[in-house]
Order: sequence, then structure tokens, then C-alpha cells
Amino acid sequence: MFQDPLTRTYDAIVVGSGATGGWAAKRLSEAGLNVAVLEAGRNISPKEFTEHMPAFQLKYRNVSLDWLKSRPIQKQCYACMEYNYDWFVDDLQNPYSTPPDKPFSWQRLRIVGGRTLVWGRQSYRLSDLDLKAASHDGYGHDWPFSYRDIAPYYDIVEDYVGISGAAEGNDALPDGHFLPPMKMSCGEMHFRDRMAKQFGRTVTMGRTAILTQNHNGRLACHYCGPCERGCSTFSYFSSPFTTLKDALKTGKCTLITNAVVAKVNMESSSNRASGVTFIDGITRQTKTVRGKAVILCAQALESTRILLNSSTGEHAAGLGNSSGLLGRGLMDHSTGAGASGELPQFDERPSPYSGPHRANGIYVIRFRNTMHGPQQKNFIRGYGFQGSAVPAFNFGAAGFGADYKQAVKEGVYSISLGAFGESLAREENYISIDPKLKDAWGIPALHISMTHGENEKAMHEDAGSTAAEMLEAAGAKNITLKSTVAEPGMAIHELGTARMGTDPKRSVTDPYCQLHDLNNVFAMDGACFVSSGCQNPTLTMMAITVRACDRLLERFKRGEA
Amino acid sequence: MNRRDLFRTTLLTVGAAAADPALHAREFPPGGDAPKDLDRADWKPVFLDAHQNQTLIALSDLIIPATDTPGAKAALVNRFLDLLMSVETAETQRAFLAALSYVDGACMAEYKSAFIYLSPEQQVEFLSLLAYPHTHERWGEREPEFPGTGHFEKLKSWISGAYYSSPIGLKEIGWDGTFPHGVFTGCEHSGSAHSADAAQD
Repeated sequence: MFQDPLTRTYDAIVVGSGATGGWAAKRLSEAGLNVAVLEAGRNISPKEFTEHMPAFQLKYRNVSLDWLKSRPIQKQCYACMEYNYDWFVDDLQNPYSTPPDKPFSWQRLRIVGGRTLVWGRQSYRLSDLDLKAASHDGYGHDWPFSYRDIAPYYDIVEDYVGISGAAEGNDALPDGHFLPPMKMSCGEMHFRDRMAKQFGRTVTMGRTAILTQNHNGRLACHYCGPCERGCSTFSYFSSPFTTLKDALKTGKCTLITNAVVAKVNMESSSNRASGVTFIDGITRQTKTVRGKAVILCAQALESTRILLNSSTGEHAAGLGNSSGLLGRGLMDHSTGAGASGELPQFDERPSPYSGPHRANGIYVIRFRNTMHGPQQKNFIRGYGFQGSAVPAFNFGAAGFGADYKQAVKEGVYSISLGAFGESLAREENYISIDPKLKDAWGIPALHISMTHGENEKAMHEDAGSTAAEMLEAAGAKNITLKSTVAEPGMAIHELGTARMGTDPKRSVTDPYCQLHDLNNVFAMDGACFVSSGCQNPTLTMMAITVRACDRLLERFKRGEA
Repeated sequence: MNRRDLFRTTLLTVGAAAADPALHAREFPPGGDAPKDLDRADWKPVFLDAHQNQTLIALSDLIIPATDTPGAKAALVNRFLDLLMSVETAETQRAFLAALSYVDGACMAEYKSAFIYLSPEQQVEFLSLLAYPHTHERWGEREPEFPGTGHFEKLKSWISGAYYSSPIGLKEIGWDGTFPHGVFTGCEHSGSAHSADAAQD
């Protein structure tokens, strides 16, 4: 018999259906808990996937999104295109404010699967160099666990997701449980060997959540290229077709779409949450759902926004904010520095439009300020480079006429490196509730105040010139370099604002993502990050979530939840 | 997702879909047939005037001519750009029109005639002037860059983008009519072919 999903009390309410929400739903429902997953957006169907659709079938051929008035911020995202823009939020419905001199590009989706539909898929473990960075250089705080504690959870996530990559034995980037790596081009092999020989730096194939062999009922990649438009064979990891699907299969998990969560509700008689209030995205009705545990997996800024919007008399500055740190320490990897050039010694022609196209590149493992290496004088922490060296059609060839047409086809063997740098968790970078601004559902919106600091700037000066030096050492020509730092948000790696730690005065959550102040509310996403490392963070978010869910399950088993 | 799961989630979303078309998934291919729409016999420009349209056709077909494969004119590059420009930002529209009118202005100054009325030889001569940088450098002084090059590069970039996203242009770069696929085999040279770096060391 059908029961109204809103009249029950769930064991756990999971807010968000992306990378971490999917894992929380899977882990808890497979262990027998009754779980409700609340997603602010609509459902997704594979019928919307357009990875095989040529651009000319679109009215404006994906050339420009300037005609699209509803997503002036989202169109800054490389993955937001004419093919899929409706997966991204409508910026007019979802406003936020920033100080006029501190722009922040907040790129996000509201749809089942969230950003796993369009993510970059690069998947790297943090190491003790990252988790214990404060002990290493004295800045900020250590994480409340070490690599040994989180490693088994990386294993669980990697075994399920399927990460292709190569083991390198480099301490700065621990190896994992990998599917076979994708292949390097000739230029990349040459670059890798030259960098090892000349600088002692490790260049590895990008570790990516794309299958290189059939895995867990999903097919290997067929190398069509544009993953961010969806994948009809589900070869890259996205939650609706993996974790969330498993959760729904248990019969224990209820997915509620168009549920825009406004706040966490409190029991009147105890210091516990009773569930959440959400606005029905369609009818605009206010509804509540009850749960024994509330797990925020809404994305770092959204999870913290919900906590800040959940103030009560007892928790006047936001839920879980007795430390005063909720909203503080916003991070986003610094990007914008790098170099590009050409490798004329390779004469291979570009891969034709019909493929194959490898949606992955090479990765240069962090080599600055390593545990036992030399330390930089003008910056702490480090950066990794993502890049590639492949022949590409030379649309920018000089001249015109038949010669131009021929030059386009002959292509150019281009090589490029782009830095992702550690973003320091500076408390002056913060989010708060804008007292005047509300979203389309009447929920108070965020004020985001963030800049990259002097450390990031110095790091990018180094990253730009070092990238150029590396390309030159590989024999590249026509090298151009950039040492700029892009606007915060452009890495789409928002982290922090509800830092984890053991000391309730100096952190918001405990080492298992539970708010210090409330024992049944959890922030299981990027919000709890203590420091950012320079590695793409999604794999770590998923590992942290599995670890936190296992802890929660133990409590349920003991009847403590 | 099996049928039961689908039913469960559908129950919760069915009201949504009926109430608000904005919450529907978009359908692909999106309404209409974009290439056919451009190919209509009664096509008329919506952004360009007739002279601008003719100028664009002439320019595009010189920049990407028919060779052993069709060129920009056959690919209806002008028609797509007319459509795109009709919805572009005012700034982009101005830049596009400024580039087109620069061409005619410079031709009037040089040949006393608009671009489309020049002989084919004159058209190539004129474009050659624009296509290759005309910066005169002497010791200690650098004259401002020739403005024609900037206008030409913009037009070329729009034309190239329109051509290589058309069915004709995609075939030119290896579209075989099916969806892209294959196996990225990577470097297939034996072991140390690149690591030895023999030629460079």
C-alpha cells in the first residue's frame, strides 16, 4: 500500500543526491535503514544524454550561450553548454551576493545526481602531506585523522566507482585500487620520461572515474569524448546510475525530488534535530519530513547555508555554530596558471571527429614543498598540473583559403599544463546569510566573500614559469605561459565552512562529520574539509562519507541513534 | 532503476511534470530540424541586410573555399551566423558588424568599390593584406597594429566555427555519420622510443 512519504519518520534524511548523497543513501539503506533522499531539482533520464549528438542539431550549435539569459554565472562553467544548461541552476532563481570587489563564480546543478552528471572525474587520494599539512609547515589545522584511517574507505569507494589509473609509488599522491590506466600519447610518453629524467617529477595518466574495462555492471568507455553531456553506457561515475540506483533497489530508500530544503528542524524537548523543512519546488508549499538523523550532502556552501538558516533561540548564530566557525574557511583550488605550446617533433594527425576521444589527460604529481624535498621560500603547500599532449585540429591556423583548410586538417601537436593549487583555509574567506536576499522559494540566500591570497598568488607565479620551463625541457615551441589566479569558484572545488576536528571550540564537526553541538546532524560533503590539498576533492568527499556512515550505522546497531 | 523504483520516484514527481513545463527534461533533438531550417528555400536573413549577407557569403567562401570538399558557401555558414548573431549580445553584434563594414570601408579606400564587386584577384589580394600581420617595427618604435588584421581574425574565427560545426564541416574533419567512438590506443612505439630522446640528447 502506498504511504505518503512525508508521514513517516525515516532513520536518516539525506539532503542532496550527488556524489556524497548517493553514497550515504547506498551505505545506509543497504544496511537496512529507512532513508529519504531529498533533491532540490527534478529527476534525470538517460534520454537527456546528448554525448553523441553533433552540434549542428542544436539551434546555435553550442557555439555560444550568450543568448541564454537565465544562467549568466553557470555559463562560466566549461561543462555548461547548449546541450545541458538546464541541468545547471537558473541563476535568476538562485541568487547570492558577494562584495563588489570579490567576485565568486558558484557553479552548480539542481537535479538528481547533482554535479556528478558533469564533473571532471579526476580522482586523487589525499596523503599525510595534505592531512597533516599544519604539522609540516605550521599553517592552519591538521585533519583529525591520518591517511591510514581513511585509506580503507578510499579502497571501498574506488572498488565500487572504478577509477582507472597507474600506481606510481609517489608519497605525495598515494596509489589506489585502479582499473588499467588510459593510454598516453607519444607526446605524453616523451614528456613523462623527460620530466622524470631532468627534474625527477612524476607524470602519470590522469586517475579518472571512467571505466577502462567493464565494471560492476557498467560498460567500459567507448571514447566518444564529451562526458559532461551524459553517458549512455554509464561508463563514468554518476550517482543516479550507481549509488542511488543501488539505494533505491533496496526498497528502503525514498527519493523525493523538487524538495528545496530550507532548514533543519529541532525537537522542542531535546537538543536533537527532528528532520527538515523543505519547499516543494513546484507548488511552493512548505513541507516537513521527519528523521532520526539528518545528513547534509547538499554541497559545501548549500549544506552550511542550511545550517545557518536553521537558527533557533538556543542556536542563534546557526545550527552547530557554538565555535563561531560555521561559514568560515571557504576554499576553492586556485586555477589559472600554466603553459601551452607545440611539440613539432611529433607529426601524428588529429583523431578524426568520429573518434576515438580520450576524456582524460596527464597529471603531474605535486613536487613543491614535499615531505622530504626542498621547501619554497615564498609559498607553502603545492600544486599539481593537469594537462595533455595530443594532436588537435588547428582551427587557429594562419591565412585563408585552401591552405587554411588543409592546415586545419593537418592539425597541431599541442601540449598544455594547467595548475590546481592548494587554497589555504583562511578564516577571512567566509559565507553568511545575506539579510536582504532570498531565492525563488523564499529561502534566505548566501553572501560569499572570498579572495585568493598572497600564498596562492606566489604559488601561481611559480606554477606558470615552472610549467613553461617543463614544456621547454620537453622541446616544446611557441610556448605561452600564464601566472594569473582565476576568480574563486572557477575550480568548482568549494570546500570548508564546517571544518571537522576533535576540539568543539576549534571545529564545527567531529572527525565523523557529526556536528559537535548536535549528535544527529551531519555535514557529509566538502564542507567538513580542514584543508584543500591540491587534489580534486570528490574522491575524498566520498571516502569521508562512507567512513561517517559506517560510524553512524554502528550507533544505530547499538541503539544510540 | 527497475520498474518499481521508477514507479516510486515517478509518484513523487508526477505532479511536478504536469504543473510546470520548465521542470520537464528537455527533449532531444530539440524541436525542429536545425540543418533543414537553415536550408529552407524561402530563407531570409533575420539579422543581416542583403548586402551584408552577400559580403559574408563572399568572405566565407574565400576563407574556406570548395576544394575537393565543399566550402563555406555550401555549408550555409552565412545563414547560421545570421541566426547566431540575431541572439548574440549587443557587444558581439557590434563587433561582427564593425568587422564587416571595415572590409567594405577599406575596399572603398583602396579600390573605390565594395568587397563583393572586386574581381576575384582583387578580393584575394585584399584578404592577403588583412590576413598576415602588418606590424612595422624599427629600432625603438613600434607602429600600432594594422586594424584590418583584428577584424579579419574575428570574421575568420566566426566563419571557421560555423563551418566546422556544420554537417559539411564535420565531414571535413572526419565525421563518418556515426557517433564518435573507438579505443584510444595511445603511443604504440616500442618501449624506449621516446624515453631515449636520441635525437635531442
